[in-house]
Amino acid sequence: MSTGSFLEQLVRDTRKPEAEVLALAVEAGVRQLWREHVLGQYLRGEISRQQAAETVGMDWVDMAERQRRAMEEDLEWGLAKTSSP
Amino acid sequence: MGPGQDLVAVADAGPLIHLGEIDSLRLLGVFSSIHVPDGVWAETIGAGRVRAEEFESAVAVHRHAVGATALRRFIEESGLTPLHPGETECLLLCRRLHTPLLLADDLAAREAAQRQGIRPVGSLGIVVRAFHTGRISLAEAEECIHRLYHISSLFVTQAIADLAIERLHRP
Repeated sequence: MSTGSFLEQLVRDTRKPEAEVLALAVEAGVRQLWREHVLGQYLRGEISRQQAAETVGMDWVDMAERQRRAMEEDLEWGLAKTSSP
Repeated sequence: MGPGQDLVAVADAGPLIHLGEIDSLRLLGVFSSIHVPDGVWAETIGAGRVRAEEFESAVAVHRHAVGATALRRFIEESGLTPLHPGETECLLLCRRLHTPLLLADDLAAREAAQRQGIRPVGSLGIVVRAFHTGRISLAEAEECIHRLYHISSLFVTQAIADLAIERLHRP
């Protein structure tokens, strides 16, 4: 489904005016971008764990750390000698 | 290039769905064969989220029925109740087939696999292996990672995708 069809369905299902749904979408989008920006700063070592947790919450920091571990494991496996299982 | 030499894995739904969403199921050709339990088959091909012909043309696919009784016993023995049924079936299949590799993106499933001594590999790992073995170029690998973040339903933050791409550029 495209973003346009998500919007159409949200307007239909929530019975809110399209302008209101769009305003909520912008707010949610900016929050997500902000969270990703802060987590990116943390993962690149630009801010401390404590600072990241205070800004976006410990749950998101934990999730980012688990994702980083998974990424590192995948990279290690993907770039290993091709005979390794 | 031929199929991945003797590289056998059991697949959970995540990587099949996510690679399918970015039109990259062909990258599963890094494996010589993939085993899929019925629960995962139902979630992916059965639910129309993955095209069977595309999947089966990429790699030799083997479908397995996992008995309910065996699954219950395995869950009791392993304490795996918080996992999705398909993920539990995958872990049981890994044990049955003595396959030490599980294709999984779900973080809880990956962590459960590690506790069972099984190596989890996600969509990103498959893209990276395809690049490393010369199936796709660096630019194509980068594009796949971008699409995994922007288009697929894989839950990953932008920073992780960027760090992975940065790592691929290192000699």
